[in-house]
Amino acid sequence: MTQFQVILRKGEASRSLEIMEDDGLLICATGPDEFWVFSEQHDAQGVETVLGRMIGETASLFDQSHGRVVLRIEGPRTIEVLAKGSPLDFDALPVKGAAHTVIEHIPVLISRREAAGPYDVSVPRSYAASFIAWLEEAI
Amino acid sequence: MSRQTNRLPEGGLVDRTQVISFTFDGRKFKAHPGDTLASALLANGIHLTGRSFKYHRPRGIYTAGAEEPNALVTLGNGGRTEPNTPATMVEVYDGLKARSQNRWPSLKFDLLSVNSLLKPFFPAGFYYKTFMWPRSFWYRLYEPMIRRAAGLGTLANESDPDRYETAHTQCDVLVVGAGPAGLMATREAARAGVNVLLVDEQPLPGGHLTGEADKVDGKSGAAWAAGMADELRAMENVCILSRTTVYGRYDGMTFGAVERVGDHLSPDSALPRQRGWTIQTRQLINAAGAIERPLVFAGNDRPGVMLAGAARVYVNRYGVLPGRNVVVFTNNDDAYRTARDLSQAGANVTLVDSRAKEKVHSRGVLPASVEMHFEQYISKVKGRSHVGRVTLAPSGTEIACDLVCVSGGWTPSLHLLSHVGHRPEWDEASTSFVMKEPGDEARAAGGAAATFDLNETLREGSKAGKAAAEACGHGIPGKTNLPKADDLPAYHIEPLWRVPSAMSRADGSFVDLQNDVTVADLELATREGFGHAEHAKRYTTLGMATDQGKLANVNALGILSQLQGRPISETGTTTFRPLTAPAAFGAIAGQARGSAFRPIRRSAMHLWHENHGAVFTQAGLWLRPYFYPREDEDFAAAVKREVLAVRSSIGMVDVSTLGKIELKGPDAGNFLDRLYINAFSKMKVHRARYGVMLREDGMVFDDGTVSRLGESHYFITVTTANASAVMQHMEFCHQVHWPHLDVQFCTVSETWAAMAVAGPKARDVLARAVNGLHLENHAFPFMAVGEGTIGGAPVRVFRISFSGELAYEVYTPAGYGADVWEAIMAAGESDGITAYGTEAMTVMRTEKGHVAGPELDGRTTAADLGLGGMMSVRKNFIGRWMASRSGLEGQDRLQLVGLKPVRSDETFRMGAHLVKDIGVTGVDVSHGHISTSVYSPTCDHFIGLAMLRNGRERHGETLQVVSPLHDESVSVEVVGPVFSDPDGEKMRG
Amino acid sequence: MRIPCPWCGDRPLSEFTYGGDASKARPKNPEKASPEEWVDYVYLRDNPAGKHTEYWHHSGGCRSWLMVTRDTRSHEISRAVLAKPQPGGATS
Repeated sequence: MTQFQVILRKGEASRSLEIMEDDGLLICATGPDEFWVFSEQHDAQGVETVLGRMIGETASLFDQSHGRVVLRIEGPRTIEVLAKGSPLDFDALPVKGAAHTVIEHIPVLISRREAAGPYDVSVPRSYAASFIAWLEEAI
Repeated sequence: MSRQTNRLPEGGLVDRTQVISFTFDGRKFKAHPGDTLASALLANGIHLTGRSFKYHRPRGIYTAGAEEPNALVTLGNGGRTEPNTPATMVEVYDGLKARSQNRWPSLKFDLLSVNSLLKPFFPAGFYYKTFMWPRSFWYRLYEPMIRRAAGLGTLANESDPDRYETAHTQCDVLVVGAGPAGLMATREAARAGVNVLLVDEQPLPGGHLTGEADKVDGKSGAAWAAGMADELRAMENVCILSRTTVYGRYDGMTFGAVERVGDHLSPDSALPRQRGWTIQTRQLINAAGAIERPLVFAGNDRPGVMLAGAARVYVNRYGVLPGRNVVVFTNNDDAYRTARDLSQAGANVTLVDSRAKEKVHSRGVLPASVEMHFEQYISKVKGRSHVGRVTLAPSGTEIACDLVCVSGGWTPSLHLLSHVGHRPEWDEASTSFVMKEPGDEARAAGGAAATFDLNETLREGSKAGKAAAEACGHGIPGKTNLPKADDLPAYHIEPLWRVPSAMSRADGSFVDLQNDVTVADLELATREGFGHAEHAKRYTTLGMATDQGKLANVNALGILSQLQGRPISETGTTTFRPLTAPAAFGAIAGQARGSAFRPIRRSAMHLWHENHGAVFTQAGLWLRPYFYPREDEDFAAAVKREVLAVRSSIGMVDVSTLGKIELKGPDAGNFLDRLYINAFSKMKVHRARYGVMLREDGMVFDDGTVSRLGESHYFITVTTANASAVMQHMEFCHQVHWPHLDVQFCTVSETWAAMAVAGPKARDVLARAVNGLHLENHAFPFMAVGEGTIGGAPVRVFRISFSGELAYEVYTPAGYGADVWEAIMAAGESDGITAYGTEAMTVMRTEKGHVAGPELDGRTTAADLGLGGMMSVRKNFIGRWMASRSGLEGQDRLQLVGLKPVRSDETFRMGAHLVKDIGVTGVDVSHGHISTSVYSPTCDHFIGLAMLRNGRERHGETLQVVSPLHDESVSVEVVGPVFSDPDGEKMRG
Repeated sequence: MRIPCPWCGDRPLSEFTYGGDASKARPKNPEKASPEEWVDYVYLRDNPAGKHTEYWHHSGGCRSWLMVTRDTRSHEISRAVLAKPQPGGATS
């Protein structure tokens, strides 16, 4: 999955663009100046082109695709399992929204693809093996 | 197998259709599902279950709940051994094995009960006054001896093999206790629409109701509670956790609890044994009930003496009659129900009330067969391993008995209301401590609020539930239909903190059963000036056992207040702290144990390192190759080979763990100028430069490389250890100090795999692997930056050198890391390319005098490290002003130098100190210390980097390196810090 | 304990890193500030029993620096705003 970290330039903090799905991209606000962009359809070059059209010079783009491993977790026990490692209220995450948090000491970016899941967990590459080991044990 | 002599023919909630068996101290007994170990032992006529902590007095089952002070047993074997488990909380399963503690050779015949005879030598605080001479004997003889003689259970020395879990949950209202108050509160709050979590430590709902004969809405308490629980379970916004103890309340309405998931099942179950919960809520309803306290008289600790409330729980909940000839001794009306229930179960009951006949409301409750004595106390108990007879005072009447039920009143369980600092107040009317101001987020109902009437409790619970829901913004108007419970006479109590000493020996009247603290000990504490509650607790150890004084605290405060002639409100209370009941470490740790205790970070080339024999070291959370031993090589041989290979030909090391940060935006260079001591905004594109960052106090914080990739595009590396700290620092500077700068940056440590290719053959080898980049010296000089591909993968190449050799750092997006690494290894095969680890890397950077972590210890300035020349005078940067303060200048500053041993075969270690003469002692003899020391294959002797007072002026001087802890000293010569290629020709060629 | 991050909402303490006293301001004009002003900024701190405004970094979340007002006696948090000034003057 292609993932981009988008940081708004000075003075551009926009509250209106919280979650947007368009042209093969899912764009989620993840901080006061920051968005993450997910795309299963486009590669890095493609995402840059589409984003360039959308945001022009208002932000800087950073390709984080190689730095993260995305685990897609689905099923009725998803929240129960994730809750073994994190106090976050996963049910309160907006649909299509994403949030930075920590699961069992590992920094992750969680996005809720649909209301009933699946949840995508974007884990920094170096932690991936540890996270998967934890997940298998928790299931 | 003995018969269940005390099992009543009918009654109780146990499943009489099934018979199971268990073992206690090697003997097999019968029981039923639903029994606790305590009820099953009592059913089989066993009262004696343990020996007391200090005096090894025989002790029996005292209660029916978690507050049990005496009947502590050890369950399990090997790594599963669990000592100090209250028998009252163990659910019996077929095949359960339990054993008593703290006795040898057996429970009945315990040799250490000789301690009882030596009692006069072991009063409270004896270790402050005795066993003091000779001083050395304390640690060698007395303390080990005392330690072995005292104590309860024994820990296993094996690892716990059971599986544990942790879990988190959120709710709007947390209700602790599924008794009548808690069930009502849950229903009302849930009807109002909030999310409710109801937690109870018992397997079945109902709280104390399951142990009472009273009816609610015409049904037994247990049946009513079961019906309520069914109704609640059907509601989507209600969650019920049973067998769960809420052990602590923490700031911000966070609670900790332990759920006993598999303890009541045999150990082979697939479920986790226990689950540690963290609960986040908005409102707390404390419906945890109240705990009965005993009366204090000589012999009140004998087996066969138990709490009155507990005795009737055994009859009503378990169908067990703990004795046939019963004396009930009380100062309040509640114990009359015990006299009634035991009498109806077939016992001969005599009731002894300390109050005058007129004060009593409950006489009508008793059958005529119960003999009553008023204004009398128990003064003596006869019988050593079991009660046989009691003597009353002042009448002198003797009564033969096999069970004594005592009641000194009820103490509301306030723990969860007071863990975060609220202090309870003494309430004369209920003779108990209550929480008058629990705060906006907490309420109490029922026994926990000192409400002992059942109808009032149901009303209070309902009201609390509604109020909690309203506080969450959900109100429901309208009345609730309250259930109707049997009316009981009003509860009246007359405090009796201890039977007066004239009638009952103070040194035999136990206040804290578990820690063997008597009235005499409290009298001693008061005489010695330790009468305040906080002092008396520590002086006598009252309240410090695993039961945390649940049965003892209030009686003790009453006794202390009497001894000092002050009201209880002035005697003080001690502080309640989590945990309310002991919890296994496993339940707190969950999965985080062993290798899963912390996450492990691995680079993209980790598998290659593993497959090629790397021995790993931990650098923070990272696993890094330390060295790659070949057959028969030890550490020293491998490192020597690796270093020589790099210096003579070529080697490669994985440096992916470096912190990496990418910066964009027109002010990116300006931002870096403010962070580093040297300037970057005017650096040419496609160039790199070494940079040093200071802290605001002028000390060196970190060092690394800054590269310019474009007009408004920079890429920096920082040390592995400081990656997070530097990023945090940069975010602070941007968000707090300079938000006006147009710069955007983020961490890309994970995004790029990185490897350093170093040695005289580095250019040749890399040229074979790289496409699209010219590597000749004129095209790609020292500190150049370029982009190309290796095997189709994009790479960024930086000509920088940590090792001092001709070197290139190759960065590629992490997904290509392993492929690029292997491509370079293949390209270098003909030149004998050698993978090297962090130790070889450390040796080589030390040979070059490059500073690293040990030199950047937070006490060194750039000037100390010989980098003062890098500090710009033309710009503002973090730390500039504090670095130039007068206190950081002068001859006393420790400066970076190199050291070599005078005798070339000698060694020295990191942390050793530099002195002029060995043998001169004093405060100020150290001239400095060694920060790094390694064996250098290049020099063929040990070398070191050290911080030495006025070091730069002392090259050529001979000093002594001393390590007194290791009894070592070595002569060294002070030299410059660069040992290999001092002019840097290899790097720049 | 939880901290109410203005962006992310209430999050557990473990997601945050403490950053020290927020009532100290860095000298506006570093070049002109006296050594005493620098020492005061870098080293001198009050230790109130009561409300204290301090920096916290939401390192496990949105990575914003926050200014949090916390009562040092009860840990009650009465205010939490983003340290970085927001366009339009919004603090959350």
